[in-house]
Amino acid sequence: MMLQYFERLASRLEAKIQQTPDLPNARRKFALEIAKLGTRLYSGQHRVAWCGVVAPFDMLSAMNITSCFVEFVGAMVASTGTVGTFLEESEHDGFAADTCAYHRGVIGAALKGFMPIPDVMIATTSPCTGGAGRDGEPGTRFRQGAVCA
Amino acid sequence: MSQEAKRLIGHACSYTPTPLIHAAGFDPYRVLPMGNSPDRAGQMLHDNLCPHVKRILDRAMDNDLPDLYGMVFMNCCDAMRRLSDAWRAVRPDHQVTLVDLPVQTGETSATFFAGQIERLSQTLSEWSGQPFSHTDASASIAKFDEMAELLEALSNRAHTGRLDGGSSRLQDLFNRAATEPIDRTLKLLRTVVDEPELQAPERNGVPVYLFGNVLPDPDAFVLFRSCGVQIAGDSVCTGLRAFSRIGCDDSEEVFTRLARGLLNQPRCARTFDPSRPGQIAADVLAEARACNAKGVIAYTMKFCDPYMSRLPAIRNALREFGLPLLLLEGDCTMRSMGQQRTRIEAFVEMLR
Repeated sequence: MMLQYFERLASRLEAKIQQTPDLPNARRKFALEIAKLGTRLYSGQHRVAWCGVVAPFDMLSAMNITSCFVEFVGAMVASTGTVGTFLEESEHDGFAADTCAYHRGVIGAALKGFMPIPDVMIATTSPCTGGAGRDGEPGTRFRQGAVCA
Repeated sequence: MSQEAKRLIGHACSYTPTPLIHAAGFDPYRVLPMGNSPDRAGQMLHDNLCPHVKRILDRAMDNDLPDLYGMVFMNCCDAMRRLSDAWRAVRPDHQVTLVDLPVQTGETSATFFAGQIERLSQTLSEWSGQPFSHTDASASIAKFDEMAELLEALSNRAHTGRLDGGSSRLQDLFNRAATEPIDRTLKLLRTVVDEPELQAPERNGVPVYLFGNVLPDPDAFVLFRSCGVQIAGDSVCTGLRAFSRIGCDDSEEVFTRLARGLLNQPRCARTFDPSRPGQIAADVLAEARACNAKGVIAYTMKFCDPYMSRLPAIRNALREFGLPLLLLEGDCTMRSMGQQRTRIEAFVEMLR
């Protein structure tokens, strides 16, 4: 479902940009890159890393690994108004409501099958230790044998 | 400030390399989240922050501390990092240093941590004005290892009901070991170890395994006992976990030895092995089974992210084995523990 969504979004944006090639289309081009990233994350054809914000994305990209900045996903599902369901899902699974809502949102989304399945998880204690908490145990439940670094 | 007072260096985490502080000519003093200081840390730190850290800051703001020369903070979690920031603001009279602590165990982490410990040794040398000596550090490690062995023996005795005074007395000994000079502590512990064991072990409670982070108040263990709980095993960072043996293998240089010993001690939830990130659940289950516990009590600080993120896996592991789990969230005061009395009593009734 997520792959179809991003593929459709990408094709529509490309069509719109082609209709007005003389305009800058800056916003559309930015959204197109997001759609392409989403397509790569959910295609099953690329290696995927779950990362925090200070993970070395450029280095991963050079290694042909597509990075998924999971806190960004938490913010994205909040901005679309769908995070309530995911927060409930993670709380039903035992994650306390007192913990970080970014991470609970992502964990809930993963439990519901909306997150791309990671091959690698890169947790950092900066800017917060919650990321290490997320990847330390909950993350690996979504992909047994994923490498945690 | 007296010469005696100037010899104290405060710390607040079980991962602190206390033998290094001792080798530098200071006495390590663990600032425990106890006492009756008013709640004022909210002026500096957010309400939704670890109560352990806030209680410690309350003590600093209330001047409820011996005259410390400085504080050594470990960068073990967000809250502790923020505490080191706040400490510089509320106690500008103290020297303060923050030591990075790896999240993972393993060789690369031990190498990195050894470098951090070496840097700490340089800082302590500057503070004390005496050069660092590997020989002194090895001698200090030997003393702290002896203390760990004595405490382990007493812990085993308490868990099997053979220590007069039980778990509450054991906790008092842990607290004294964490706050008093090592030579005085060793003398005390040797005396207690030499006491005759109780001939008729006190086994009038339900055996329960206790794990979590900070529970330093001996009255908490009195409460457990009055509710019918016999602590048959535990892993809390104000208990035996704070006194792990480093080992006296002189083939390795002292910083690496300290790093490896501290990282490989029984783990706080903030540390994990990347190849087995869910290992803490298996560890809790294994330790609970090893002490024949009928149930498990988890005592964690409110807003403690590392423990909260591990608890679902621990709960699942215990459930699969049929071991009931009671989760108590606290704020380092007996106020909150008193409120838990009914829940503990109900849990014990269920286990009987």
